[in-house]
Amino acid sequence: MKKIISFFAYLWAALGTIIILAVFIGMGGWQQLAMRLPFMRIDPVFTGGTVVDTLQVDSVMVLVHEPVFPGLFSEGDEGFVQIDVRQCPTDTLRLDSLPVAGNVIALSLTPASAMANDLSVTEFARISDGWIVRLELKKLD
Amino acid sequence: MKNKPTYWSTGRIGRSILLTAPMVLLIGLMLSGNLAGGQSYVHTFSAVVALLFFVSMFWMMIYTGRTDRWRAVVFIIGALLFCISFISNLIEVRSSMTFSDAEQLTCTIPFCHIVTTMVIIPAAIKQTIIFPGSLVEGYASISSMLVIVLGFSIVIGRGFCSWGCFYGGWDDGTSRILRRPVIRRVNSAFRWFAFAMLVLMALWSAESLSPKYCEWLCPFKAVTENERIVDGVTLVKNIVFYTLFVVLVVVLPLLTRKRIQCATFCPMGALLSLFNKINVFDVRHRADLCINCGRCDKACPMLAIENHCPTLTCSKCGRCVDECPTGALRYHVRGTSPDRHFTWARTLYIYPAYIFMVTLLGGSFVNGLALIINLFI
Ligand code: SF4
Ligand code: SF4
Repeated sequence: MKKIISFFAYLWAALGTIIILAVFIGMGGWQQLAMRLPFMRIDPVFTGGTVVDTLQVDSVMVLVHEPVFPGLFSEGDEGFVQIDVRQCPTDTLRLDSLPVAGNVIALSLTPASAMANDLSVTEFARISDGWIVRLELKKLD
Repeated sequence: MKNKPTYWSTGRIGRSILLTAPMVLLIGLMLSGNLAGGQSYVHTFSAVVALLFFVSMFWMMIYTGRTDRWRAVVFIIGALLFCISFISNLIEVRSSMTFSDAEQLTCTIPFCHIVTTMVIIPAAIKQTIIFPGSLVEGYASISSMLVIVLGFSIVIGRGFCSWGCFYGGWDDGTSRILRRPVIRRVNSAFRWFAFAMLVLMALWSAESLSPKYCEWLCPFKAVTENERIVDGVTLVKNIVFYTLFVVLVVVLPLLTRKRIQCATFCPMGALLSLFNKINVFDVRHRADLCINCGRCDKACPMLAIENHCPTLTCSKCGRCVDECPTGALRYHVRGTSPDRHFTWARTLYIYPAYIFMVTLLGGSFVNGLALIINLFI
């Protein structure tokens, strides 16, 4: 019995080298396999959630995401809505009458600031061709 | 005194060539992308130097029978070159070693293996990854790091921390600078603090849905990337990162000759220790050969030895195996007798472990070396 166990133990140990090589050589395939796991998606806290509206304002494209109310087990009471401004050729921009999460807002954007009427800006970033802005939302009940 | 048994290949050139030859091919395979044509001369030259370096260090392991001495050379140089290569990559991509809100909001932050500890609970409950990184594309994507962590730690367990972690090389290096420790006794119970960190970081990150260790406590932010200082909060974060780096990665390892950050603070180290439980390799103590000299307890940089026996947190670095004068400590394959075939047990372990090291550090080794050479020509 001991000999059989030893044999399989050495076999498993020898397989270690093959497994490590397989991980390295087949990395692309393993990644594809990993992507099928149910949890392989970035939390909306970071991505801003699904885009629900795409608006064209002159040459500028505005992507409005779904409202996100972060919470581990269920949605929290406070959250945000993310707006991506893309294809903007200028350094400053004013957008009026944007329909966002049931509000109509105006946005003023410069490289160093973002301001909105009614809703407060919680985060914003200047990106290569526009801005990403997050506006604070609170659930009403 | 009992004599230390030698390995089959120790001091034997022919046998060492036999055991090293397959590794030469494997290292060549792993560096093939760097060795292939179409690169700059400096890059190809660096790849050839890397190939010769990795092969010669492996040869020394086989020929001299000492594991940790040569492992550490590759591990420490690899960690330094990794950081040089990583930082230069960041500077190339975003012109800075720091990241801002833009990188976070566009989810382009590289994922590191330590984050694994913080994403587990939300992945199970919410089925999402709480990290602003890329799932597949780009440098250090989430899927590639998860595959690496799972694939490699199943085979070598916490060997990950001494054979591949590009951070571990830092405190492994600083803990070797002084020949004798200034602080001679470090209570090995401190290693349980890393498990407390694991639980705390996993819960805090899940509750806040953000990777808290990365945001507030990771000492290695000091040598990779950190948040741009734009306000009081980011200033405090950076002060914390640099202070922890100086204290845990430089000063304490220097004074104690122990890898204090890895042994007592890193939550990933604690998680990887659990993989030791399901791992086929371990370092085994043979009481019948032990003369109670205590060299192993003093030598272990991970505070992992109790009563001369390696415990759960052993990183299989091989230092105690090298130090033990009678061969009472040896690499071992679980389920086999520790008295027999100890050359095979060691060879079967160092092969995957070394391949892992070259896989993880090889590319950045070549890039880092090429960058340094370019500075001088
Ligand atoms: S303890 Fe952490 S930092 Fe140290 S080697 Fe292991 S994973 Fe890396
Ligand atoms: S017990 Fe031995 S092999 Fe394990 S970490 Fe300590 S010195 Fe290294």
